[in-house]
Order: sequence, then C-alpha cells, then structure tokens
Amino acid sequence: MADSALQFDNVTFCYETQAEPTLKNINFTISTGSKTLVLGPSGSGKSTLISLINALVTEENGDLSGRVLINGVDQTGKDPFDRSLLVGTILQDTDRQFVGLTVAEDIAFVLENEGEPLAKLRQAVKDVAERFGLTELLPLGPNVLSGGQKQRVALAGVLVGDSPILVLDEPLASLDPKAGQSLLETIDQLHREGITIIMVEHRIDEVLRHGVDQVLVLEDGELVFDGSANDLLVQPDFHDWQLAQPAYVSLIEKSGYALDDLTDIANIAKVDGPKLAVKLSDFLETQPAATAAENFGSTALEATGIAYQYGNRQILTDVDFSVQKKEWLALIGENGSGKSTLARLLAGFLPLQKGLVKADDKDEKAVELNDLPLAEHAQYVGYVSQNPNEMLIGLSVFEEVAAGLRLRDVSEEVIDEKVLAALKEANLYPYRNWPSQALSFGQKRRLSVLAVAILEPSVLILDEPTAGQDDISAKGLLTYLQSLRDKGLALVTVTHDMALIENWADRVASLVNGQLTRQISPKTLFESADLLSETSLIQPSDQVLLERLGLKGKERGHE
Amino acid sequence: MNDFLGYQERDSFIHKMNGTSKLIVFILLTVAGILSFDMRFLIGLTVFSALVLYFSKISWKSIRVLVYLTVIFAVLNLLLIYVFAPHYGVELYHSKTVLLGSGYYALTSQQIFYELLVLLKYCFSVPLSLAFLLTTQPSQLAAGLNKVGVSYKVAYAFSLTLRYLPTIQDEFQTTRKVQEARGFALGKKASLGKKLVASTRLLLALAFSTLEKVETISEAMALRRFGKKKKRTWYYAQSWHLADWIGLLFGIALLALAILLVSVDGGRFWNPFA
Repeated sequence: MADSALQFDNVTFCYETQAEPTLKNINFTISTGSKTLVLGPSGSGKSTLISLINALVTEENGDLSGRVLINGVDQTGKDPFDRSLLVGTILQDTDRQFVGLTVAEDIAFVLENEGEPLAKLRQAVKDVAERFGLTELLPLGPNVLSGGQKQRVALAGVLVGDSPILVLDEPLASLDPKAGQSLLETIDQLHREGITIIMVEHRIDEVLRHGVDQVLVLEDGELVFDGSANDLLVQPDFHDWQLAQPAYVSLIEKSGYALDDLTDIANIAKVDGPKLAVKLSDFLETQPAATAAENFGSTALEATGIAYQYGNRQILTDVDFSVQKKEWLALIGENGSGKSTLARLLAGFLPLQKGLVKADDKDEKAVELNDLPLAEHAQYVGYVSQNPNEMLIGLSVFEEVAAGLRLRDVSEEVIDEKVLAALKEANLYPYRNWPSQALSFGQKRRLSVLAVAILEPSVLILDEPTAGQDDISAKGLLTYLQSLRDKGLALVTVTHDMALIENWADRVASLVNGQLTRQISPKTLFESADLLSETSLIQPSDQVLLERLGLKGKERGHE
Repeated sequence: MNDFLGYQERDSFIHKMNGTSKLIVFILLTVAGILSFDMRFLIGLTVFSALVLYFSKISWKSIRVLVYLTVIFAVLNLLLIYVFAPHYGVELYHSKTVLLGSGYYALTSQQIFYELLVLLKYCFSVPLSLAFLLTTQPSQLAAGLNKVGVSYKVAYAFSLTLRYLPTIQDEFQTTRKVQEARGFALGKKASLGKKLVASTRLLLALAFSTLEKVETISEAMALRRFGKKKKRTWYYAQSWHLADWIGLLFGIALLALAILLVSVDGGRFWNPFA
C-alpha cells in the first residue's frame, strides 16, 4: 500500500486511568496527498485519535491494540520523537505553541533541537519565511502578532522540518472568519504541494468552502462515518452526530427541499437541484418579515464619549454606546479594533480615562458607574472572560456560584434556593459537588456565566462566549443566555461567531479603528460587503447561496 | 518587549557582544567586586560599570524605579549597619578617629570609610547587572548559559519563563479583577486578613492554570523534538568578535588585579589608616 499515508488497523485504545476504551475498533485509510476532515463532538475521541497519530500518546500511556501505520510502516515500538519526522502538528492554542521569543526563533525550533549548524538554521528559516510570507515578521515577538499570523508561524515551524503529513487540531478555534479563510487558503496551497492534511475542526461551514477529500466522524469512540463530504451532508444520522450543519444546508433543509435531490451539496459554489431556486423563493416568502426596530425595554446601560489611550496609541475615540433591556447586542470588529477594551471599560475592569457610563438599577433609576468600586460596579454590569480559568477559582461548582452572594451577606436559605435553581437551569445541577476544575470546557464556560449572572446585573458582557466549543455545548450556553435575556437582562457579546450574530443577536455594533459605527440589524450587516470586510467577517454561506441563485433581498421582507 | 526588566533593543557595542562572553565577563567582574574591599579598586570598578551602562544606551526611564528602590535599600542597609555595629570600622582598621559625638554611637572616620565601601558595592553591582540583563536578549542569554555548561533544558526553561511572563501577568490581572467583581476583598479598603485569604486563593487558581499551560507547552515542544538529542544549537547563538575578546580581557585583568591587591594589601581590606 504505497499510496497510504496513514492507516488505522482495528485500533482500540484505553487510557491507563480509565475503565472504558476511548477509541473502539477504528479502521480507516488516508491516502497520500489527500485532505481529510475529522469531526465529532467533544469527548468523542478526536484528541486521542490525533495524539495516536503524532505520538503524544503511545502504547506506554495505556492499552493499545491494533496497528497504526504511517506510509505503510507499523509504528508499534518506534521512538515517539521520530514520529515528528513523519507527522507535523498544529495545535488550536496559538499562544502556547509559540515557544520562541521571536518568529525566527520559533520557526527554527525543530532544527535547533536536531542540532543543525547555525548557517543551515538561518538559511532554512529565511527560505520557509519567504514561502509563508513571514519575512517581515521574523524579528517580532508573539505579543504583537495576530492569531492568524501565529498560526502561519506554527505552520512554518512545522514544515521547516519537512514533515510530509500535517495534522491540525482545531486550527481555526481562535481565528476570526477572515483570518480563518486565509489560513485555509494556505493549507490548500500545502495540499497542492503534495502534503497530506488531516484536520480536526468544528467549523464545517468554513472548512467546506475550500473542499475536502474525505470526512471521518467519531462518536463515543467509534468511527460512525468515513466518506465524502457530499455523502456526509445527506446522511439521515447527520443531526444525531451533533455536528454544526453549514448555514446554506440548514436553509435548504428548512425550506422542505429533499437534500437527496441536490447535486454537489458540499460545494457552495456549485450546489444545485431541480427547482431549488423556486422552492427557496417560495419558502422565503412565507417567512414572517423581521419587525423593524424591535421595541426593547428601557435603557440598561448607556456610555457616552468613551475614549481610551494606551501609551501613544489611541484605542477608542469618542464612543457612544447603549444597550436596552432584553436586547442581545453583538459587538464585532477585527483584532485590535478595541472591542475587548470597550467591553472591559464598560465592565469596570479598566479605569475610564474619558467618558461616562450609566446603568439602570432595579427601580429604573440611572446610576453613574464611573467611580464605583469593582464589587459594586459588578452589580450593574457583569463580565465573563473567554478564558474560564480566569473566572473560576477551584471551589466546588455550588460554591463558585454562591461565592458572589455570600460575599454580599445574602442569607444561606436564599443562597441555597437561588443557586440550585440556577444550576438546574444551566444543566449543571448533577455536578454541584464537583470541583469546578473537573468540568469540561463547555461546562466551565456555563458555570462562569452563572457565577456572574447570579448577582442579577442589568447587563451581562461576554467575551467570545462560543469560542473553542463544539456545536452542542455552544448552543447549550446560548440557550441559557437567551433565558436570562427573556427575564430582562441585556446581553453584550463580543464575538466573531457568525452563527451567533445571524441567529441569536438582535442588533450588531461594530468597531472600526476605535470608532463605533451605527448599531444595525444582523441582516443589514451581512448585506454590506464593506462592513463585513472591515470587521473581519465573511458572508454567511446561506447568503452566498441566495446571492448565486438571484434570491438576495427576497428573504424575510425588508425593514 | 518593553516589560519591567526586559531586554531592550538598542544599537550599541555592548548589545552586539555575544551572550556567552557577556555572561562570563559579568561573572568575573562580580566575583572581583565581591572579593575586594579595596576602596581604590571599587571606585575604579564603579566608574567602569557606570561607563558600561552609559554605553549600553539604556533609557533612564526604564530603570528609574529600580534605581530608586536600590537607593532606598542601600541607605536603609547603611543605617542599620551603623545602628547594630557602629564599631565595625574601628575593629577592621585597628584605629579610631572620632569625628563627631562620643560614647557608643560616636561617628568615626573608620566607620564612614567602611560604610562607603558597602555603598560602592551597590554602586558597581546595580549598573553592571542592569547593563547585562537589559542588553542581553533572553535567547542569547539561554544560548550563553548553555555554552558555559548549563544543561540546555535548564537554559531553555529560563528563556521560556521570560517568554510567558507577560501572558501570565495578563491572566493574573483579569483573574484578580474577576474576583474583585464577585466581591472577594482585594481592593484598597479590604482588611489585611481578608486580602491574604483572597490572594492565596487567587495564586492557587493561577498556579493551576499555569500548570495546565505548562503541560500544553511541553507537549508542543516535544512535538517539535525538544529533548531528543543531547545537544542542541541556538538560532541566536553568536560568533565571537573583537569586542568579546576585549571584554573578556578586561574581565580577567580586573579579577587578576583584585586578587593581586588582596596579596599586596595583606588581606581583602586595604587600610589607609595604618
């Protein structure tokens, strides 16, 4: 089998510390030079699969049966260090895999460890930097690079060692859609150069825009699907696998059109079927028109004349911002546009240099927040960071939520009642006595929202609430947020998650170069190519399809 | 990299010197300065390190705070020496010249002379350490440590710490704010006891997440073959130039002079009162 890059032959793996195998009887073959997408919800065994490929996990870490073959050679008993000569790996955490102090040093890392002479190091770094367009970044450190640039450095750092198989573990997780597309283009270029690509990624919609040769789906440690993307999207079991359906496929399915009648379903530029346009057009006309300028409650938070300077850099210039009760506002903008700074200023995490922030208290009286201590500020504006490790401090799940109330001298009975009710609503009740560190990433995120929301602020600000989560846990969190909003809370989510913006947010505020543009509806945003580009977003795939079929503007009536 | 005590990119011949040679010269001069209690030598060494700091083009602003702190510490140190051992100078130099006052705390020129020596030790070591730390890129320092015999894993851990310090600082700041917002007493008004409990918890949480981070980083490093071979090379390793040899000569010469003075003075102390 000369043309198989990677083969799993009846592989079963059980970690030493676990009773149940994480992977069960896995069989598949990936041919040399192909591009494979690996899908599956968290806990389905994807990480273990990747670790068996790049030898982070070997027979030393547990009970391994079956064979892993790379380029036709059985890897049992081989030195794990040598595996990296065959397989290069890109991780999802762009920051932690950057080990050098500068781009140049990070790229050279593999060769340094091989003890290559200095002249060869410098030449190889120069060559690979040219190939990836990184030459000008060589002397810079990771703190001034964007997520997309860091992923490109990671690619260069792996490929400088000439690994013919490239494994990517959620490479898009910390990138905005535009940077994601650009990284996918680079990956495509490597694919054309003959490198075998194996990619784990939740964001199917974005990956499919560049096409894949093969898709593997894992569920509970078993391989439940091995085939083409076209076959995957029409699988009757698709929804059972808890995968994120591409937006255009969702639209077609919702219209009642049979997916089996489509040709080239995985290719958004080609997908078509008999009378597809007619069916979609009919469907769009039956959709209720979005009510223009929906009437929310009164103002929950109002900020005027906010400006912020860091060193010599003006980050925010004269920003006016307001959010109403029961409104869900998405705050968007490209990296460095100042959206996180604005969020932190509103939450009182950064000192206001200029401007005024006011919030409504329970009696709808406006309270000035400017000089309040953070503990009091937090009773009006809650802030949830995107890193749950920054939010939780290792108490039990119950205590993490109760802490904020306890420190405000709420009586124990009230605390018990409130916390248990909240835990039930967020589906965390069964874990109430666990230490918070033992939860999964998605559960930790929900818990950190709870710990802040329990103080019943008027506004909840969340930084990238869905980043790094699979479809099912992201939806779980968003559903919980919606229930909070329905009770009268205003939500501000800093995000570049297009599904969140399109399906959950009421309005969008975008920051461009430190200035806030008009607050608009998500629909208006997705119709403006300029604004999408300025905020590092891309057109959602359902809009792409409607535009190609000449149906744009028909959907959901006009405001 | 404009962090506290971080490397500062400048164009000076001291920056151009090789990490290894700078490290060796730094060690030689420090040993010489610690060894000698000869006023003449220490004045010379202080002038030398002041020149080194001047030529390294480090901005005053970036070292200001540290220098003030050192001055406060040095003054405190000198006062305490006087409080606890006002006769130490007299004992050292076997003579007593009273300048002011009388009795136990009488001020003697021998005591002043001794305390000046202590002050000079601060005056040579602080500029020298600053010039060394701020002109040596951490990777070059790691390469230098490795060259003088420190295991490359230890040397790399050192430069990695500097690499991740800003990240951990950021995370700590946010965690702190989050806990303050929840109501944990960390602000100015809180009592010391409450602050202590809350800070301990905070540090534990930070330690947890740092450990987790270390795990990912070490995996990422292993995936790129760190630790595979007994030796590794360094992208930022530098070859030796004339300046390095000259620096090394200076270092050796000054240490030799310090040793020579010990034998000429008949001990580590030079006694002008004899």
